[in-house]
Amino acid sequence: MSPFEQTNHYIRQASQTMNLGARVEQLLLTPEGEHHVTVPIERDNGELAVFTGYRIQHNSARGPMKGGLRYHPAVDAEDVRALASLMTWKTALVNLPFGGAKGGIAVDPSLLSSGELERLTRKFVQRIGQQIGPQRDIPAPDMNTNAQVMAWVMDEYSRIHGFSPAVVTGKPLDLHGSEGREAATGRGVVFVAEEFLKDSGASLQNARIAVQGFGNVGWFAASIAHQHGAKVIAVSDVSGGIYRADGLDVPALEEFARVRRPLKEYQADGVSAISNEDVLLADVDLLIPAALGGVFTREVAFAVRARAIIEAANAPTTPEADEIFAERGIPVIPDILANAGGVTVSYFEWAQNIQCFRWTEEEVNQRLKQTLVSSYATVRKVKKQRNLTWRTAAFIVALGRVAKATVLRGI
Amino acid sequence: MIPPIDVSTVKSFAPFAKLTSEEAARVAQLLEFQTLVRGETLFHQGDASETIYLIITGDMQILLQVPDHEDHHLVTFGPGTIFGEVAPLADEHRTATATALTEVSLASLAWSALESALENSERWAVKFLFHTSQILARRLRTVNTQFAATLAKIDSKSPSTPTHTEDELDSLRKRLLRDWSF
Repeated sequence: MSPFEQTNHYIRQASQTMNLGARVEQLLLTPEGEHHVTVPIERDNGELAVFTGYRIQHNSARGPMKGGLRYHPAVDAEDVRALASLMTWKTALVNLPFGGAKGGIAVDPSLLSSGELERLTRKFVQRIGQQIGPQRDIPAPDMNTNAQVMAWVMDEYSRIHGFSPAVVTGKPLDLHGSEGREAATGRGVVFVAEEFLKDSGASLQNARIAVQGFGNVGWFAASIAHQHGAKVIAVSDVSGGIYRADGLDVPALEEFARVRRPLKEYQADGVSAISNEDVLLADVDLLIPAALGGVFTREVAFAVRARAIIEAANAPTTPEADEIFAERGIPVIPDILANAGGVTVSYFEWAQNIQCFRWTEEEVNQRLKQTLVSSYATVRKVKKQRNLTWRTAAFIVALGRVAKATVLRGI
Repeated sequence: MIPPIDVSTVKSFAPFAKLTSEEAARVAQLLEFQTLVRGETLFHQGDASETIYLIITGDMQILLQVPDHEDHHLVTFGPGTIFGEVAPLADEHRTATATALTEVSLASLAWSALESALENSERWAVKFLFHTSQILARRLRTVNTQFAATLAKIDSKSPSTPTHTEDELDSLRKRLLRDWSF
């Protein structure tokens, strides 16, 4: 099942529960517009290079569209379409006044110089300049794009339309970025995990967690959970994983990983090396997949020993695995809720830019917590009332909000 | 040799049923006997029209020719029927084509003969005209009914009646706000 079909599968599940009907379902599943552009640049050696870029705008019923911009050789329309759709449901679920979009360029950025990357980004903005805008569609960082890339997007767009910091989020702090943006997704994962544990009378204090993926999200999630007293017993990156039954020394790990060394080279007392997949099978209270999509296949789902799963990555659970988790009674807090912290603080950045105002990090984090705690409570209420899985309940809340905005506005 | 038309044949046509034998004999004098083979066309749509026909035996098919379409079958007339009276009444050319479905024997009455009989107030001519008026009145009523039915059919198919879409959106709007408020 392709990522787009996988997202649509969950949407249809929710739509059928709500009895929206085939026509409305079709309307809500289909992107509003797709922009495929050719992005030519001159390489440093004088050669011409041509790349394909995408901006797919899924739904704007609830407001300007929001979604990341990724640079990856595997980027294609199908992939971007699925991620654009996911953004629509994510912004709706946490009740931001945004719709959903996604974009990207099919390119391996590690093969480009900084100057080439800048020229590529600026050319792409020229190509999609009429489609994006502070009240139309607001890009953000995603796979292989960062604050510097967003700064170029802002500058190129401003060159055409006048000074417009609100056209893009995830900008550098020194260029109208927001405090707390970098850690936002990981911090959000921990806020949601905390609420979930509270429900069963537990807390993060001494909770045993495993994190697959030690990139931006996994790193901050592990680190902030550790600050709240959790025991991080297993983590992994692409090189492999490490395990310590009594909990890893997270500050030491951060120090080690800061210089981007592979985790499998990490050595300390009582730490054993495990495989990347073994992390998913660790005996823990909370399992946090924070790497790639599709890691929970049917086989893995049967072998998981965790009490609960918090989806920090996008789409880590295949629909077959989702059913197995439901049968085994393992709660799965879905991606659109668990990792919505990033887009939430992106919204705060946009709101600050629009108002020409700055919030402190404490304000940002406090509002982030407020947003996620209340979204969690809404999903929990729908789940309990109607005896659904967390995922179906979350998609129902999201779909319900988008459907209501659509019918209230009229077609 | 064309057989003469007798009084009882004349009286077998509804408008002439109540004529006296003299009156019927007078009509018989004015009628001309004619036969058609199967498939023969008596007159074409657009022909000049100066004659009324009375079917004695056989069936006549009346067809309306529509440009770029197949002929539209209007009606089939059997023995005892008078037809072809519309065009001369309206002083028009033939409005349809008449073809023999079987072998047909019929009597024809010249419109001019009817006109002069009317001027002389001959009773058979008045009766004939009255009867024809009744037939035309009935046909008009049938056409009106069919026209109203066709209008209703077009109306129900027309996309300019958006009630369904409005219903779907409206009921969804109400249902979402009632059942799915979070």
